[in-house]
Amino acid sequence: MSRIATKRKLLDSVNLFSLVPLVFAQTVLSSYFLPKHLVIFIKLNCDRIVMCSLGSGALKLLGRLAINPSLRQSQLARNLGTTRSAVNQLWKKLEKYNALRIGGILDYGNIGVRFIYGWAKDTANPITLQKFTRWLKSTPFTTTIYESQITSANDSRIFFEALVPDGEYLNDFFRTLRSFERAPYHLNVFFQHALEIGVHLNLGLYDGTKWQFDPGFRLEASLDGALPYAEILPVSNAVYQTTPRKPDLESLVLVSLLERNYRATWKNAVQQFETFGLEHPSARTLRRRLCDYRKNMVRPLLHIENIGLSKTIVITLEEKNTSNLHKILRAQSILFPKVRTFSGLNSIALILDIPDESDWLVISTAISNIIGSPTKMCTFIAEKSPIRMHLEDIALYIIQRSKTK
Amino acid sequence: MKDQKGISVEGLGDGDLNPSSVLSQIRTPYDDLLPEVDDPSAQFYLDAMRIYLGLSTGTLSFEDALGATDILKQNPEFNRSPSNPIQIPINKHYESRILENLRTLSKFNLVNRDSIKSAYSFAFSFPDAPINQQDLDTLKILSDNPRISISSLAKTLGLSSRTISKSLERLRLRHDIRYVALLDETIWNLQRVLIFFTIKDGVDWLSIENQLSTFPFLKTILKTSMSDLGYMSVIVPGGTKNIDVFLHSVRNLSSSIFEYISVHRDIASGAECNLSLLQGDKWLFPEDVKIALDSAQNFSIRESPRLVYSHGRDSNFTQLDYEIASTVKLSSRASTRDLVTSLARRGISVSPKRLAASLRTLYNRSILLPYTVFKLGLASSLCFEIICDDTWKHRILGVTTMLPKTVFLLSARGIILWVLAPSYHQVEYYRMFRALEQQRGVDSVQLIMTINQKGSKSILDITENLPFGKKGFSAPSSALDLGAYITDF
Repeated sequence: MSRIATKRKLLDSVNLFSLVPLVFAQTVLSSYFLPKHLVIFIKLNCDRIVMCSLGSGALKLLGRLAINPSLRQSQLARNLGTTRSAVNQLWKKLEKYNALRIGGILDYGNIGVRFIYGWAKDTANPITLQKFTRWLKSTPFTTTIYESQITSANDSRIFFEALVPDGEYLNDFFRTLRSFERAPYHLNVFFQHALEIGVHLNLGLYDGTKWQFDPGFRLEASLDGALPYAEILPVSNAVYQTTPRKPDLESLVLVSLLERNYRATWKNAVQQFETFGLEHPSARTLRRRLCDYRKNMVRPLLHIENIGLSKTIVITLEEKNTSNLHKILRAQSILFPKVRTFSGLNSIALILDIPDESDWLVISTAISNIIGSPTKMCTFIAEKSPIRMHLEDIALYIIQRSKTK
Repeated sequence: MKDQKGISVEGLGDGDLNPSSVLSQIRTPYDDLLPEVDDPSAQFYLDAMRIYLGLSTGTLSFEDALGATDILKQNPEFNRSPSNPIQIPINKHYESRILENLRTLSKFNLVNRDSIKSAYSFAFSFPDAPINQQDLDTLKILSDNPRISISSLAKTLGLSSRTISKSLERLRLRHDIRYVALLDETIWNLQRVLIFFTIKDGVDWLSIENQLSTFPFLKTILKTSMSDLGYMSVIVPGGTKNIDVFLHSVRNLSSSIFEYISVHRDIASGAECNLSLLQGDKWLFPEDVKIALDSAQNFSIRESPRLVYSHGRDSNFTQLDYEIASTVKLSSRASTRDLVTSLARRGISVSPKRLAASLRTLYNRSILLPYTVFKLGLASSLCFEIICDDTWKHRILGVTTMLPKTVFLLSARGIILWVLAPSYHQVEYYRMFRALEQQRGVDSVQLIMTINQKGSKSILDITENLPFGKKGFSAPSSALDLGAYITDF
């Protein structure tokens, strides 16, 4: 079984079976003196207790990183008026309890890959959607799948993201997607390649324990008020996706490493080449390439978890990217605590992570009031555990396939 | 001077009795926050806010507010969105939400109808304050018997009448508790018809909605921008002939406007709640309902829901009985004196004795069914249209007493359930009822979700100008042709 398939199987099994003993442990522990914010968290490689609330020091550190994730610990220490050792301690704690990581966001076109996103909805036959989901899970290029728990359109939906190498792989991928639209499936499938990908984390709304996020009228008014200025509102922290160029294996290996770990060293790079079964360039070359890719290809991105954003909402809208609505959703995604946006020629999708106490129906109502037409828009609450693969997994697959050819 | 509805208006000159300008003369301490608009439909919501703020700050008396609301109802927007600000409990939470939303409107310079409407409706959707145990115990008894006297309530709970009065006041102010009633309108030859619909592609819903709102027998329309599905509730006077004319006209429109139509005539309706699910400030999910809705399980109704059946015209009930019943429908705990005053305000004179006798008969014959209305954290309104056979109707009816709060309507074709649920159980309720579609005997389950329950026109507003005779209310058949009101599509 390939590494990717093994990883998918393991993800499925962990979600199902690891839950039971830990929920029991949580129930036992919480009946004693543990504070409310202590939660039991399940991860793929280890089970650990994590803290949800963050102290002021951690918040300040994360606040700086959110603005500039490339800051080194020494720079952070200077910025925060403290010692590097103190920053290092805090960093390690955040790594342990909140999965702090500096990854990367990039223009996948530079490595010959297209970012594809889309959704499928069942009309009358949920089995067809299940078959579609099974196929998505089986392809090596699907990075994320969100299955709906409840949708505004009163149906069932799947939202997916995929990183597909340009050329033959992409053609096959599209061909299979289209085949689900025809007999015998007749599934309603929409897909596009992303022209732009955005990621926003608005830590200013977070006080360490609670999110100040009003999903109701204020959200609607903010969007509505900004509509007349849609043309001129800037879009921050978004990466334009260019037409894929022919990839070289070396850049694929290094970029996929930087996407996972922006701070990767030449030693990490050596390890990466070995994992991929490829010969690595010299240390000097690796250092230079990593520096070059950081400068020109990969933008740093702050990853942080367990900060009280336990609910995922998916919002999809079929709307030309020249329309004000489309532009405003791109530009105003900063209103949300945490959001990823995918903007294509005729659609936009937002993946929101919101606090558990935020009401999806209120957000849905506010946004639909702006959009005004239910036929173009759908919002849904996603199941808690999307399948997640990374560029590295896809890169490994591509390289393994290129070797067998 | 007073205008034609008796509202005291300061500084208003003679002849200046335009409804909008009358309402804009109501003074509140927050007048600077209320924007000036040209659009009458936007003005409707501002006037509603103005009336509410006037009441909450004490600058407007209740009497004047009643008159102001009558003027407000003259605005055509009322037909689209029948909102009555005097029916909303006056409390500081709502007041501060309205003010906050007005400030947001000002901040973003939003003066269009949709924004102002949202500012108004979002003001009333916010988490409740937690309820204390004493108030919850009081409410539990009131939910079973909304008309119980204060002294009986006090005796049952082992508390003083004064304590109970304070409890009732807290329930009203903090928790939005209201006491209303279901009514069998067919006694007076009025038939409620509910129509679920979707609109054909390309049809301008806004235009259709505007035209539909001119239909004089429309009680409410509910269609959100989130979903294709909507419904309208209509009161049809005049018996079978007029019902047929109305339904025929609806079917005619389906070729041009409606993609889907599903008609339900009210056979019976009811309202139930299950406050035992409320533990502290959290609602438990009723797992036993899932079991009850599983066809593989044997199920017998533990507690039958109370129903108001549509009996059909009964000439023993006069128009006065109708006026009394319709007034009580809006406030089922109102005292005899308050009801007499309320009726007198509409020019109907009735003695307390006559009124009491009428009420006795109406309750004894189950023509009126009182129930309590509350939110208590039930922020989501899920309206399920379930087309099913009689077995499933019976089964679903049986679970209504196990759900947090429901109102339901039975028709020959199925059952309509409005389930109020906490936001953290939206998914569970959705899945539980949607799963019914897999059951034999259930044809379809459709859903409309909203964060606020939509208001509806009072039945008194609909029947105000209708002739009343031996056969009850009537109307010329031509007036029931919906096609005559939707001409521009």
